[in-house]
Amino acid sequence: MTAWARDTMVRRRENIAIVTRTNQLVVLALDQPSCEPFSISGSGVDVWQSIESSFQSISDLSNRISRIAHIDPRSIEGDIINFVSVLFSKGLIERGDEA
Amino acid sequence: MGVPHLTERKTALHQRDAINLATAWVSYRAARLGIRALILKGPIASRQRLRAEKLSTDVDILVEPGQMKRLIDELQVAGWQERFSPAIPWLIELHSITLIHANWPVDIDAHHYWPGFLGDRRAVFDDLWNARSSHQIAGVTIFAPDRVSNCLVLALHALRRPAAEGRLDEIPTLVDAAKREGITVHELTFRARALGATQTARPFLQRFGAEIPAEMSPSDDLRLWNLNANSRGHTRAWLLAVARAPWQRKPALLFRAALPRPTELRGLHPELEAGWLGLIRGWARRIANGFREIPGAFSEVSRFATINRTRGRKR
Repeated sequence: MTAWARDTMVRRRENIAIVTRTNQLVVLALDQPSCEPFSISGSGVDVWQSIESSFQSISDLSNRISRIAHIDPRSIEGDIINFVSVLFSKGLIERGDEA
Repeated sequence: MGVPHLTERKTALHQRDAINLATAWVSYRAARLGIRALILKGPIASRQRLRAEKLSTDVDILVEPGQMKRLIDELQVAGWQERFSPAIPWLIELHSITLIHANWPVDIDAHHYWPGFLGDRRAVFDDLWNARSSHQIAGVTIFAPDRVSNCLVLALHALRRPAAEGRLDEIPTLVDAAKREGITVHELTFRARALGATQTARPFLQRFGAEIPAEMSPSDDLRLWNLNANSRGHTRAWLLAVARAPWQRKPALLFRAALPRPTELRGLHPELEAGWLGLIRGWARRIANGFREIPGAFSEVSRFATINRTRGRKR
C-alpha cells in the first residue's frame, strides 16, 4: 500500500453506523466482514467530524482542524496522519488512490 | 490539542449504544442480502410511544419466511453464534434463534414468525411489511411494524406465557399508551383480524373496548397457544409429547422429561451453579415443580388430546 502523505485524499466510507455521546462517538462499519465497533473520543471526534463524504487531502483536513483548535496545522499533521491511517485500517474511511 | 485516538470497544460498549448499533447492523446486513426484515419492540416501541423507554438486552428481528438460514449464515461470518437451545418439546413451535457475540453485551433474536399471529406466515409477514414504518437508528434506515401492528406484537409478547413470565401488568399500560396515541379499537381489531390475532390478543383487545367473543371451535394452533399461556414450565409440553408418542417411546420420554441431560438442563437453567451439586439441585427442583404442575397440566393436556382424537375420527 502507498505511504500516507499530506496530499493523500480521504473520505468517509458510506454505510457507517454512529452513536454519539458527550465527547465520544461509537462507529461501526456496516460493510466490513466483522462486526466490530470502535470508540472515538477527545480530539478524534473533531477529526472524524471534519472528514467529509467527498474526498479531501490530509493537508486540508489538518488546516480545518487547526482552525477549530487554534493551532499550527503543521504541528498536528503527523498525529492526523496516524489517526486517519488507523481509521482506514478499520474500514471507516477510504483513500482517493484506492477508491 | 491532544493526540486523536480510536479505541476498540470490546468490553465497555454501553448497552444502549450496543442495541442501537446492533439494530442498525443487522437491518443493514439483511437489506444487503435483499432479505426483508422488521425490527420488533425495543427502542422503536418507545419511539412509537407505546411503552416507556427501557434498556433492551436484545434486538428482535422478524425475518421474512424462508430467509432465516441466509441471514443466520451472514451473521455467523461476522462472529455471531447461535446460543445453545435444548432439543426439548415446545407447545408453540420455537420462533427464534438467539445469536450471541463475544464482544457484544446484547443478543440478536432472529424470529421466523411471531407467536400469536396465527394467520398464514407469509401473508402475516407481507401484511406487516406493507404497513411498515421506517426509522433512523444510529444513522441507518431500519424498518419496523407500524404502531398498530407493534401494539399487537407487544400485547402478544405479554400474553404468550403470562403464568410463567408475569407480563400481564404490561397490558393496561399498553392499552393506555395506545389510546393516548389515538389508536382506535377499529384499527386494532381490523389489523388483529388480518394477522390472525383476534383470539390470541383477546384479553388486550377486550380491555381496549373491543367485543371479541371466544372462539367456540378453536383451531389446533389456538388451543396450543392457550395451553402454552397456562404453562409455567415445560410440564404441559412434555406431557403432550408423551401423549403423542407411540407406547414404546413413552417411558424414555417420561424419564428424559424428569431428568434431562446435563447440557439440556444447563441450557434451560443457565443460572445453575457449576458442578454436580448444581445439576442435582436443578433436577430436584425440576421434579418438585413437575409434581406441582402435573395435576392441572394433566387434565388440560388430556382434554387437548381427546379433542384431537375426536377431530381425527371426524376427518
